[in-house]
Amino acid sequence: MTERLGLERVSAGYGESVILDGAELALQAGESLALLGRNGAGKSTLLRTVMGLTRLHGGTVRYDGRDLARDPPWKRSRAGIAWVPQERGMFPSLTVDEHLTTVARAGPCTVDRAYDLFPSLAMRRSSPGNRLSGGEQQMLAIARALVMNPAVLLLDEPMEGLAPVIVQELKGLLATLIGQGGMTVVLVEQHARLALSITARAAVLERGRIVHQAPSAQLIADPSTLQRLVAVA
Amino acid sequence: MIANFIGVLFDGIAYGSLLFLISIGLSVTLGLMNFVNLAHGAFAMLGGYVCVMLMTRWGVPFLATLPIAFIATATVGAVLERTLYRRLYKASHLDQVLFSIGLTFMAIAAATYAWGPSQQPVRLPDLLRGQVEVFGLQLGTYRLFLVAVVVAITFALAWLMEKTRFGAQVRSAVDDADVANGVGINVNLIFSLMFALGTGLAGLGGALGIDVLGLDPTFPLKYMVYFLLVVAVGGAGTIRGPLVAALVLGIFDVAGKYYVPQVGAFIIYTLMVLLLIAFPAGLYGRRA
Repeated sequence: MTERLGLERVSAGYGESVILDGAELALQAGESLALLGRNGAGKSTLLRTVMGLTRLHGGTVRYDGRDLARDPPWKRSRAGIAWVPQERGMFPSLTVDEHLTTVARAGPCTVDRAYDLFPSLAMRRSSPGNRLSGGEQQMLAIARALVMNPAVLLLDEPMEGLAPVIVQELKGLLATLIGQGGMTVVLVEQHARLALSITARAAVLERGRIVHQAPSAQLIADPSTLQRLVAVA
Repeated sequence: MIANFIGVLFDGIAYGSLLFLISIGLSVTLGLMNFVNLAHGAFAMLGGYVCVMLMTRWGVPFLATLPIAFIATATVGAVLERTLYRRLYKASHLDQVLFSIGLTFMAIAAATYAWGPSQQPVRLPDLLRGQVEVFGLQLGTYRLFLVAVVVAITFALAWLMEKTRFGAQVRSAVDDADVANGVGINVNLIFSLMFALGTGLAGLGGALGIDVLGLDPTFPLKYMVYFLLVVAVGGAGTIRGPLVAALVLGIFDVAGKYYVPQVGAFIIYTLMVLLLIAFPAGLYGRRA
Protein backbone atom coordinates (compact mmCIF):
# COMPACT_ATOMS: atom_id res chain seq x y z
CA MET A 1 0.00 0.00 0.00
CA THR A 2 1.17 3.49 -0.73
CA GLU A 3 0.95 6.52 1.48
CA ARG A 4 -1.92 8.80 0.49
CA LEU A 5 -1.62 11.53 3.09
CA GLY A 6 1.37 12.26 5.30
CA LEU A 7 2.19 14.88 7.90
CA GLU A 8 5.80 15.22 8.93
CA ARG A 9 6.74 17.35 11.97
CA VAL A 10 3.95 19.76 11.05
CA SER A 11 3.71 23.00 13.00
CA ALA A 12 0.92 25.32 12.03
CA GLY A 13 -1.54 27.87 13.36
CA TYR A 14 -3.08 31.25 12.64
CA GLY A 15 -0.86 34.31 12.34
CA GLU A 16 1.94 33.90 14.86
CA SER A 17 0.13 31.38 17.05
CA VAL A 18 1.24 27.74 16.94
CA ILE A 19 -1.56 25.21 17.44
CA LEU A 20 -0.14 22.13 15.73
CA ASP A 21 3.31 21.53 17.13
CA GLY A 22 5.20 18.70 15.48
CA ALA A 23 2.28 16.53 14.34
CA GLU A 24 3.20 13.27 12.58
CA LEU A 25 0.66 11.15 10.73
CA ALA A 26 0.62 8.77 7.79
CA LEU A 27 -2.47 7.39 6.07
CA GLN A 28 -2.65 4.70 3.40
CA ALA A 29 -5.04 4.76 0.49
CA GLY A 30 -8.48 3.58 1.59
CA GLU A 31 -7.64 3.76 5.29
CA SER A 32 -9.99 5.26 7.89
CA LEU A 33 -8.82 7.18 10.93
CA ALA A 34 -10.63 8.55 13.97
CA LEU A 35 -8.84 11.70 15.07
CA LEU A 36 -9.55 12.20 18.76
CA GLY A 37 -8.51 14.65 21.42
CA ARG A 38 -9.84 17.18 23.89
CA ASN A 39 -11.19 20.58 22.91
CA GLY A 40 -8.40 22.80 21.67
CA ALA A 41 -6.00 19.90 21.03
CA GLY A 42 -5.75 20.97 17.38
CA LYS A 43 -8.04 18.52 15.57
CA SER A 44 -9.78 21.11 13.37
CA THR A 45 -6.49 22.90 12.83
CA LEU A 46 -4.96 19.65 11.56
CA LEU A 47 -7.72 19.25 8.96
CA ARG A 48 -7.50 22.93 7.98
CA THR A 49 -3.72 22.58 7.66
CA VAL A 50 -4.18 19.68 5.23
CA MET A 51 -6.51 21.99 3.25
CA GLY A 52 -3.97 24.83 3.36
CA LEU A 53 -6.19 27.16 5.36
CA THR A 54 -3.72 27.74 8.20
CA ARG A 55 -0.25 29.19 8.32
CA LEU A 56 2.35 26.43 8.05
CA HIS A 57 5.27 27.27 10.34
CA GLY A 58 7.28 24.12 9.67
CA GLY A 59 7.19 20.54 8.47
CA THR A 60 5.63 18.96 5.40
CA VAL A 61 2.13 17.95 4.31
CA ARG A 62 2.36 15.29 1.61
CA TYR A 63 -0.39 14.02 -0.67
CA ASP A 64 0.39 11.09 -2.94
CA GLY A 65 4.06 11.68 -2.23
CA ARG A 66 3.97 15.33 -3.25
CA ASP A 67 4.68 18.29 -0.94
CA LEU A 68 1.57 20.49 -0.85
CA ALA A 69 3.29 23.56 0.66
CA ARG A 70 2.85 25.73 -2.43
CA ASP A 71 -0.66 24.61 -3.34
CA PRO A 72 -3.55 26.94 -2.44
CA PRO A 73 -6.63 25.32 -0.84
CA TRP A 74 -8.67 25.14 -4.07
CA LYS A 75 -5.89 23.20 -5.79
CA ARG A 76 -5.71 20.70 -2.93
CA SER A 77 -9.45 20.30 -3.16
CA ARG A 78 -9.33 19.71 -6.89
CA ALA A 79 -6.43 17.27 -6.45
CA GLY A 80 -8.82 15.08 -4.45
CA ILE A 81 -8.95 16.22 -0.83
CA ALA A 82 -12.51 17.00 0.26
CA TRP A 83 -13.28 18.81 3.49
CA VAL A 84 -16.48 18.88 5.50
CA PRO A 85 -15.89 21.92 7.71
CA GLN A 86 -16.91 22.26 11.30
CA GLU A 87 -20.28 24.02 11.55
CA ARG A 88 -20.94 22.77 8.01
CA GLY A 89 -19.77 25.82 6.00
CA MET A 90 -23.08 26.49 4.27
CA PHE A 91 -23.33 29.28 1.70
CA PRO A 92 -26.50 31.25 2.58
CA SER A 93 -26.89 32.67 -0.91
CA LEU A 94 -26.57 29.34 -2.72
CA THR A 95 -29.39 26.85 -3.14
CA VAL A 96 -28.94 23.19 -2.24
CA ASP A 97 -28.56 22.41 -5.92
CA GLU A 98 -25.94 25.13 -6.41
CA HIS A 99 -23.96 23.84 -3.42
CA LEU A 100 -23.52 20.59 -5.32
CA THR A 101 -23.30 21.69 -8.96
CA THR A 102 -20.67 24.39 -8.39
CA VAL A 103 -18.18 21.91 -6.94
CA ALA A 104 -19.11 18.58 -8.61
CA ARG A 105 -16.32 16.78 -10.46
CA ALA A 106 -16.42 13.77 -12.73
CA GLY A 107 -16.61 10.40 -10.99
CA PRO A 108 -19.03 7.78 -9.76
CA CYS A 109 -20.77 10.11 -7.30
CA THR A 110 -22.81 12.44 -9.49
CA VAL A 111 -25.19 15.07 -8.16
CA ASP A 112 -28.11 12.69 -8.87
CA ARG A 113 -26.35 9.93 -6.95
CA ALA A 114 -25.91 12.32 -4.00
CA TYR A 115 -29.65 13.03 -4.06
CA ASP A 116 -30.26 9.27 -4.00
CA LEU A 117 -28.10 9.05 -0.88
CA PHE A 118 -29.91 11.98 0.77
CA PRO A 119 -33.54 11.96 -0.38
CA SER A 120 -34.44 14.80 2.00
CA LEU A 121 -32.02 17.08 0.11
CA ALA A 122 -33.59 16.12 -3.20
CA MET A 123 -36.87 17.56 -1.98
CA ARG A 124 -35.24 20.87 -1.10
CA ARG A 125 -33.12 21.49 -4.20
CA SER A 126 -34.00 25.15 -4.49
CA SER A 127 -33.85 26.07 -0.78
CA PRO A 128 -31.01 28.34 0.35
CA GLY A 129 -28.28 26.54 2.30
CA ASN A 130 -29.00 28.27 5.60
CA ARG A 131 -32.74 27.49 5.54
CA LEU A 132 -32.13 23.78 6.08
CA SER A 133 -32.35 22.02 9.44
CA GLY A 134 -29.09 21.17 11.18
CA GLY A 135 -29.26 17.58 9.99
CA GLU A 136 -29.99 18.59 6.42
CA GLN A 137 -27.13 21.10 6.48
CA GLN A 138 -24.78 18.35 7.61
CA MET A 139 -26.04 16.04 4.90
CA LEU A 140 -25.49 18.80 2.35
CA ALA A 141 -21.96 19.40 3.63
CA ILE A 142 -21.21 15.69 3.23
CA ALA A 143 -22.97 15.48 -0.15
CA ARG A 144 -20.95 18.49 -1.32
CA ALA A 145 -17.76 16.61 -0.42
CA LEU A 146 -18.92 13.37 -2.07
CA VAL A 147 -19.77 14.93 -5.46
CA MET A 148 -16.13 16.06 -5.65
CA ASN A 149 -15.34 12.34 -5.89
CA PRO A 150 -12.35 12.77 -3.61
CA ALA A 151 -9.54 10.38 -2.71
CA VAL A 152 -9.38 11.79 0.83
CA LEU A 153 -12.40 12.84 2.89
CA LEU A 154 -11.82 15.04 5.94
CA LEU A 155 -14.82 15.27 8.27
CA ASP A 156 -14.79 17.83 11.08
CA GLU A 157 -17.33 16.85 13.76
CA PRO A 158 -20.12 15.92 11.36
CA MET A 159 -22.39 14.66 14.20
CA GLU A 160 -22.16 17.83 16.29
CA GLY A 161 -25.53 19.12 17.44
CA LEU A 162 -27.65 16.56 15.59
CA ALA A 163 -30.63 14.59 16.87
CA PRO A 164 -29.77 10.98 17.84
CA VAL A 165 -31.81 9.51 15.02
CA ILE A 166 -29.92 11.62 12.46
CA VAL A 167 -26.63 10.68 14.10
CA GLN A 168 -27.49 6.99 13.61
CA GLU A 169 -28.39 7.62 9.98
CA LEU A 170 -25.15 9.48 9.25
CA LYS A 171 -23.14 6.90 11.16
CA GLY A 172 -24.58 4.17 8.94
CA LEU A 173 -23.77 6.16 5.83
CA LEU A 174 -20.18 6.88 6.91
CA ALA A 175 -19.67 3.22 7.85
CA THR A 176 -20.81 2.25 4.34
CA LEU A 177 -18.50 4.80 2.71
CA ILE A 178 -15.56 3.60 4.78
CA GLY A 179 -16.48 -0.04 4.14
CA GLN A 180 -16.29 0.48 0.38
CA GLY A 181 -12.59 1.25 0.93
CA GLY A 182 -12.17 3.64 -1.98
CA MET A 183 -11.63 6.76 0.06
CA THR A 184 -9.19 7.64 2.79
CA VAL A 185 -11.34 9.03 5.61
CA VAL A 186 -10.28 11.17 8.56
CA LEU A 187 -13.08 11.62 11.08
CA VAL A 188 -12.71 14.26 13.80
CA GLU A 189 -15.30 13.59 16.46
CA GLN A 190 -16.06 14.50 20.06
CA HIS A 191 -17.97 11.26 20.57
CA ALA A 192 -14.92 8.99 20.67
CA ARG A 193 -16.85 5.72 20.86
CA LEU A 194 -18.97 6.59 17.86
CA ALA A 195 -15.89 7.48 15.78
CA LEU A 196 -14.01 4.38 16.89
CA SER A 197 -16.90 2.11 16.04
CA ILE A 198 -16.74 2.93 12.33
CA THR A 199 -13.00 3.50 11.73
CA ALA A 200 -10.05 1.13 11.48
CA ARG A 201 -7.43 3.23 13.21
CA ALA A 202 -7.32 6.00 15.78
CA ALA A 203 -4.92 8.79 16.59
CA VAL A 204 -5.10 11.06 19.62
CA LEU A 205 -3.98 14.68 19.51
CA GLU A 206 -2.79 16.50 22.59
CA ARG A 207 -1.44 20.04 22.55
CA GLY A 208 -0.83 19.92 18.82
CA ARG A 209 0.94 16.55 18.73
CA ILE A 210 -0.15 12.99 18.02
CA VAL A 211 0.45 11.26 21.36
CA HIS A 212 -1.17 7.87 20.78
CA GLN A 213 -2.01 5.69 17.80
CA ALA A 214 -3.81 2.35 17.90
CA PRO A 215 -6.32 0.25 15.99
CA SER A 216 -9.79 1.57 16.80
CA ALA A 217 -10.97 -1.82 18.09
CA GLN A 218 -8.08 -1.96 20.53
CA LEU A 219 -8.78 1.50 21.91
CA ILE A 220 -12.47 0.87 22.30
CA ALA A 221 -11.67 -2.29 24.29
CA ASP A 222 -9.43 -0.33 26.64
CA PRO A 223 -11.74 2.15 28.37
CA SER A 224 -9.15 3.32 30.91
CA THR A 225 -6.66 4.42 28.21
CA LEU A 226 -9.46 6.04 26.24
CA GLN A 227 -10.64 7.81 29.39
CA ARG A 228 -7.14 9.05 30.15
CA LEU A 229 -6.54 10.34 26.61
CA VAL A 230 -9.77 11.99 25.59
CA ALA A 231 -12.18 12.33 28.49
CA VAL A 232 -12.90 15.85 29.61
CA ALA A 233 -10.80 16.52 32.70
CA MET B 1 -46.31 71.07 -15.27
CA ILE B 2 -46.81 67.32 -15.18
CA ALA B 3 -44.85 66.88 -18.41
CA ASN B 4 -42.13 68.99 -16.92
CA PHE B 5 -42.06 66.85 -13.80
CA ILE B 6 -41.87 63.67 -15.86
CA GLY B 7 -39.03 65.18 -17.85
CA VAL B 8 -37.09 65.91 -14.64
CA LEU B 9 -37.88 62.43 -13.35
CA PHE B 10 -36.60 60.93 -16.60
CA ASP B 11 -33.39 62.96 -16.48
CA GLY B 12 -32.92 61.79 -12.89
CA ILE B 13 -33.38 58.18 -13.92
CA ALA B 14 -30.85 58.57 -16.74
CA TYR B 15 -28.39 60.21 -14.37
CA GLY B 16 -29.00 57.53 -11.74
CA SER B 17 -28.50 54.76 -14.32
CA LEU B 18 -25.12 56.18 -15.15
CA LEU B 19 -24.18 56.43 -11.46
CA PHE B 20 -25.23 52.81 -11.03
CA LEU B 21 -23.19 51.60 -13.99
CA ILE B 22 -20.07 53.28 -12.67
CA SER B 23 -20.62 52.41 -8.99
CA ILE B 24 -21.50 48.73 -9.33
CA GLY B 25 -17.80 47.84 -9.54
CA LEU B 26 -17.15 49.73 -6.32
CA SER B 27 -19.92 47.73 -4.66
CA VAL B 28 -18.27 44.55 -5.93
CA THR B 29 -14.79 45.37 -4.60
CA LEU B 30 -16.23 46.45 -1.26
CA GLY B 31 -18.64 43.52 -0.92
CA LEU B 32 -16.40 40.79 -2.31
CA MET B 33 -12.86 41.76 -1.40
CA ASN B 34 -13.75 44.13 1.44
CA PHE B 35 -11.57 46.69 -0.31
CA VAL B 36 -12.23 50.44 -0.17
CA ASN B 37 -11.22 51.51 -3.66
CA LEU B 38 -11.35 55.30 -3.80
CA ALA B 39 -9.61 55.16 -7.19
CA HIS B 40 -12.68 53.61 -8.77
CA GLY B 41 -13.60 56.89 -10.49
CA ALA B 42 -10.19 56.92 -12.16
CA PHE B 43 -11.19 53.79 -14.11
CA ALA B 44 -14.36 55.56 -15.25
CA MET B 45 -12.23 58.51 -16.35
CA LEU B 46 -9.91 56.17 -18.25
CA GLY B 47 -12.88 54.76 -20.14
CA GLY B 48 -13.89 58.30 -21.04
CA TYR B 49 -10.46 59.18 -22.40
CA VAL B 50 -10.24 55.92 -24.34
CA CYS B 51 -13.54 56.85 -26.00
CA VAL B 52 -12.42 60.41 -26.81
CA MET B 53 -9.01 59.31 -28.09
CA LEU B 54 -10.48 56.66 -30.37
CA MET B 55 -12.98 59.15 -31.79
CA THR B 56 -10.70 62.17 -32.28
CA ARG B 57 -7.41 60.47 -33.23
CA TRP B 58 -8.61 57.46 -35.18
CA GLY B 59 -12.12 58.43 -36.16
CA VAL B 60 -13.71 55.39 -34.55
CA PRO B 61 -17.51 55.81 -34.35
CA PHE B 62 -18.87 56.54 -30.86
CA LEU B 63 -20.82 53.29 -30.52
CA ALA B 64 -17.77 51.24 -31.49
CA THR B 65 -15.65 52.95 -28.82
CA LEU B 66 -17.92 51.71 -26.02
CA PRO B 67 -16.91 48.01 -26.03
CA ILE B 68 -13.28 49.04 -26.50
CA ALA B 69 -13.52 51.38 -23.49
CA PHE B 70 -14.94 48.46 -21.49
CA ILE B 71 -12.20 46.03 -22.53
CA ALA B 72 -9.37 48.55 -22.10
CA THR B 73 -10.34 49.57 -18.56
CA ALA B 74 -11.11 45.96 -17.58
CA THR B 75 -7.62 44.98 -18.74
CA VAL B 76 -5.96 47.83 -16.83
CA GLY B 77 -8.09 46.89 -13.80
CA ALA B 78 -7.05 43.23 -14.02
CA VAL B 79 -3.35 44.15 -14.28
CA LEU B 80 -3.53 46.56 -11.31
CA GLU B 81 -5.49 44.00 -9.28
CA ARG B 82 -2.81 41.36 -9.87
CA THR B 83 0.11 43.69 -9.23
CA LEU B 84 -1.09 46.20 -6.61
CA TYR B 85 -4.58 45.76 -5.16
CA ARG B 86 -4.10 42.11 -4.22
CA ARG B 87 -1.34 43.02 -1.77
CA LEU B 88 -3.72 45.17 0.24
CA TYR B 89 -6.74 42.87 0.60
CA LYS B 90 -5.71 41.97 4.13
CA ALA B 91 -4.52 45.49 4.99
CA SER B 92 -6.52 47.89 7.15
CA HIS B 93 -9.13 50.11 5.54
CA LEU B 94 -6.96 53.14 6.29
CA ASP B 95 -4.09 51.64 4.29
CA GLN B 96 -6.48 50.87 1.44
CA VAL B 97 -7.85 54.42 1.50
CA LEU B 98 -4.37 55.95 1.49
CA PHE B 99 -3.24 53.65 -1.31
CA SER B 100 -6.25 54.24 -3.51
CA ILE B 101 -6.42 58.01 -2.93
CA GLY B 102 -2.73 58.10 -3.91
CA LEU B 103 -3.59 56.18 -7.05
CA THR B 104 -6.37 58.70 -7.73
CA PHE B 105 -4.00 61.67 -7.55
CA MET B 106 -1.53 59.87 -9.81
CA ALA B 107 -4.33 59.23 -12.30
CA ILE B 108 -5.33 62.92 -12.21
CA ALA B 109 -1.74 64.02 -12.78
CA ALA B 110 -1.27 61.50 -15.58
CA ALA B 111 -4.49 62.56 -17.31
CA THR B 112 -3.53 66.25 -17.05
CA TYR B 113 -0.11 65.49 -18.51
CA ALA B 114 -1.49 63.38 -21.35
CA TRP B 115 -4.62 65.27 -22.32
CA GLY B 116 -4.44 68.67 -20.63
CA PRO B 117 -6.74 70.12 -18.00
CA SER B 118 -9.65 71.07 -20.23
CA GLN B 119 -13.02 69.44 -20.76
CA GLN B 120 -13.04 66.84 -23.53
CA PRO B 121 -15.66 67.13 -26.23
CA VAL B 122 -17.71 64.21 -27.38
CA ARG B 123 -19.62 64.23 -30.63
CA LEU B 124 -22.57 61.92 -30.39
CA PRO B 125 -23.81 60.30 -33.58
CA ASP B 126 -26.81 62.04 -35.15
CA LEU B 127 -28.90 59.02 -34.35
CA LEU B 128 -28.54 59.67 -30.61
CA ARG B 129 -29.02 63.44 -30.68
CA GLY B 130 -32.13 65.51 -30.28
CA GLN B 131 -35.40 64.46 -28.80
CA VAL B 132 -37.92 61.73 -29.43
CA GLU B 133 -41.57 61.81 -28.61
CA VAL B 134 -42.73 59.01 -26.32
CA PHE B 135 -46.41 59.04 -25.31
CA GLY B 136 -46.58 62.74 -26.10
CA LEU B 137 -43.49 63.55 -24.02
CA GLN B 138 -40.29 64.98 -25.45
CA LEU B 139 -37.41 62.87 -24.12
CA GLY B 140 -33.70 63.24 -24.87
CA THR B 141 -32.68 60.49 -27.27
CA TYR B 142 -29.29 60.04 -25.69
CA ARG B 143 -30.75 59.74 -22.20
CA LEU B 144 -33.18 57.15 -23.47
CA PHE B 145 -30.25 55.28 -24.97
CA LEU B 146 -28.37 55.48 -21.65
CA VAL B 147 -31.28 54.02 -19.72
CA ALA B 148 -31.72 51.24 -22.29
CA VAL B 149 -28.03 50.28 -22.12
CA VAL B 150 -28.04 50.22 -18.33
CA VAL B 151 -31.26 48.19 -18.20
CA ALA B 152 -29.72 45.64 -20.57
CA ILE B 153 -26.50 45.48 -18.56
CA THR B 154 -28.41 45.13 -15.29
CA PHE B 155 -30.36 42.15 -16.62
CA ALA B 156 -27.16 40.61 -17.98
CA LEU B 157 -25.46 41.07 -14.60
CA ALA B 158 -28.41 39.60 -12.72
CA TRP B 159 -28.40 36.61 -15.08
CA LEU B 160 -24.64 36.17 -14.64
CA MET B 161 -24.86 36.31 -10.85
CA GLU B 162 -28.06 34.31 -10.32
CA LYS B 163 -28.18 31.77 -13.14
CA THR B 164 -24.64 30.75 -14.01
CA ARG B 165 -22.13 28.49 -12.32
CA PHE B 166 -19.68 31.39 -12.27
CA GLY B 167 -22.24 33.52 -10.44
CA ALA B 168 -22.81 30.79 -7.85
CA GLN B 169 -19.05 30.61 -7.31
CA VAL B 170 -18.90 34.39 -6.81
CA ARG B 171 -21.74 34.22 -4.28
CA SER B 172 -20.04 31.38 -2.41
CA ALA B 173 -16.84 33.43 -2.22
CA VAL B 174 -18.79 36.39 -0.81
CA ASP B 175 -20.54 34.16 1.74
CA ASP B 176 -17.40 32.46 3.04
CA ALA B 177 -14.12 32.82 1.14
CA ASP B 178 -12.28 30.21 3.25
CA VAL B 179 -14.88 27.50 2.78
CA ALA B 180 -15.24 28.36 -0.93
CA ASN B 181 -11.47 27.99 -1.29
CA GLY B 182 -11.58 24.72 0.64
CA VAL B 183 -14.21 23.20 -1.65
CA GLY B 184 -12.20 23.88 -4.78
CA ILE B 185 -13.29 27.35 -5.88
CA ASN B 186 -10.39 29.53 -7.06
CA VAL B 187 -11.37 32.56 -5.03
CA ASN B 188 -8.36 34.62 -6.18
CA LEU B 189 -9.29 34.16 -9.83
CA ILE B 190 -12.89 35.09 -9.05
CA PHE B 191 -11.66 38.26 -7.34
CA SER B 192 -9.55 39.18 -10.39
CA LEU B 193 -12.39 38.56 -12.83
CA MET B 194 -14.91 40.49 -10.76
CA PHE B 195 -12.48 43.37 -10.27
CA ALA B 196 -11.91 43.47 -14.04
CA LEU B 197 -15.65 43.35 -14.69
CA GLY B 198 -16.28 46.16 -12.20
CA THR B 199 -13.57 48.42 -13.59
CA GLY B 200 -14.67 47.59 -17.13
CA LEU B 201 -18.23 48.68 -16.36
CA ALA B 202 -16.86 51.86 -14.76
CA GLY B 203 -14.91 52.52 -17.95
CA LEU B 204 -18.02 51.94 -20.03
CA GLY B 205 -19.92 54.29 -17.72
CA GLY B 206 -17.19 56.91 -18.06
CA ALA B 207 -17.41 56.73 -21.84
CA LEU B 208 -21.20 56.82 -21.88
CA GLY B 209 -21.19 59.62 -19.34
CA ILE B 210 -19.00 62.19 -21.12
CA ASP B 211 -22.08 63.93 -22.47
CA VAL B 212 -23.78 64.00 -19.05
CA LEU B 213 -21.00 64.17 -16.46
CA GLY B 214 -18.29 65.81 -18.56
CA LEU B 215 -14.69 64.63 -18.74
CA ASP B 216 -11.61 66.34 -17.39
CA PRO B 217 -8.75 65.17 -15.15
CA THR B 218 -10.60 66.05 -11.93
CA PHE B 219 -13.36 63.56 -12.77
CA PRO B 220 -12.29 60.89 -10.22
CA LEU B 221 -12.42 63.40 -7.35
CA LYS B 222 -15.48 65.32 -8.51
CA TYR B 223 -17.68 62.23 -8.58
CA MET B 224 -16.00 60.15 -5.87
CA VAL B 225 -18.60 61.25 -3.33
CA TYR B 226 -21.46 60.21 -5.61
CA PHE B 227 -20.02 56.74 -6.20
CA LEU B 228 -19.38 56.28 -2.49
CA LEU B 229 -22.90 57.49 -1.70
CA VAL B 230 -24.42 54.90 -4.01
CA VAL B 231 -22.54 52.09 -2.29
CA ALA B 232 -22.96 53.46 1.24
CA VAL B 233 -26.71 53.94 0.80
CA GLY B 234 -27.32 50.84 -1.33
CA GLY B 235 -25.14 48.40 0.58
CA ALA B 236 -22.11 46.61 -0.77
CA GLY B 237 -22.05 43.27 -2.53
CA THR B 238 -25.48 43.32 -4.17
CA ILE B 239 -26.87 44.52 -7.50
CA ARG B 240 -30.28 45.64 -6.29
CA GLY B 241 -29.04 47.89 -3.46
CA PRO B 242 -26.77 50.15 -5.53
CA LEU B 243 -29.36 50.20 -8.34
CA VAL B 244 -32.12 51.53 -6.08
CA ALA B 245 -29.72 53.91 -4.32
CA ALA B 246 -28.34 55.28 -7.61
CA LEU B 247 -31.84 55.90 -8.98
CA VAL B 248 -33.01 57.60 -5.78
CA LEU B 249 -29.89 59.76 -5.62
CA GLY B 250 -30.04 60.57 -9.34
CA ILE B 251 -33.68 61.62 -9.21
CA PHE B 252 -33.31 63.72 -6.05
CA ASP B 253 -30.13 65.37 -7.31
CA VAL B 254 -31.62 66.38 -10.65
CA ALA B 255 -34.98 67.37 -9.15
CA GLY B 256 -33.30 69.35 -6.37
CA LYS B 257 -31.09 71.29 -8.74
CA TYR B 258 -34.05 71.98 -11.01
CA TYR B 259 -36.76 72.97 -8.52
CA VAL B 260 -34.72 74.49 -5.67
CA PRO B 261 -31.41 75.49 -7.24
CA GLN B 262 -30.37 77.49 -4.14
CA VAL B 263 -30.13 74.37 -1.99
CA GLY B 264 -29.98 71.77 -4.77
CA ALA B 265 -26.45 70.65 -4.02
CA PHE B 266 -27.32 69.90 -0.41
CA ILE B 267 -30.30 67.70 -1.11
CA ILE B 268 -28.49 64.46 -1.80
CA TYR B 269 -26.33 64.86 1.31
CA THR B 270 -29.44 65.41 3.44
CA LEU B 271 -30.95 62.37 1.76
CA MET B 272 -27.83 60.35 2.50
CA VAL B 273 -27.89 61.27 6.19
CA LEU B 274 -31.57 60.37 6.47
CA LEU B 275 -31.18 57.08 4.60
CA LEU B 276 -28.13 56.03 6.57
CA ILE B 277 -29.91 56.78 9.85
CA ALA B 278 -32.86 54.66 8.69
CA PHE B 279 -30.76 51.89 7.09
CA PRO B 280 -27.29 51.88 8.71
CA ALA B 281 -26.18 48.80 6.71
CA GLY B 282 -27.52 50.15 3.42
CA LEU B 283 -30.88 49.55 1.78
CA TYR B 284 -30.04 45.94 0.95
CA GLY B 285 -26.81 45.63 2.89
CA ARG B 286 -25.28 42.25 3.46
CA ARG B 287 -22.67 43.49 5.82
CA ALA B 288 -23.06 46.00 8.59
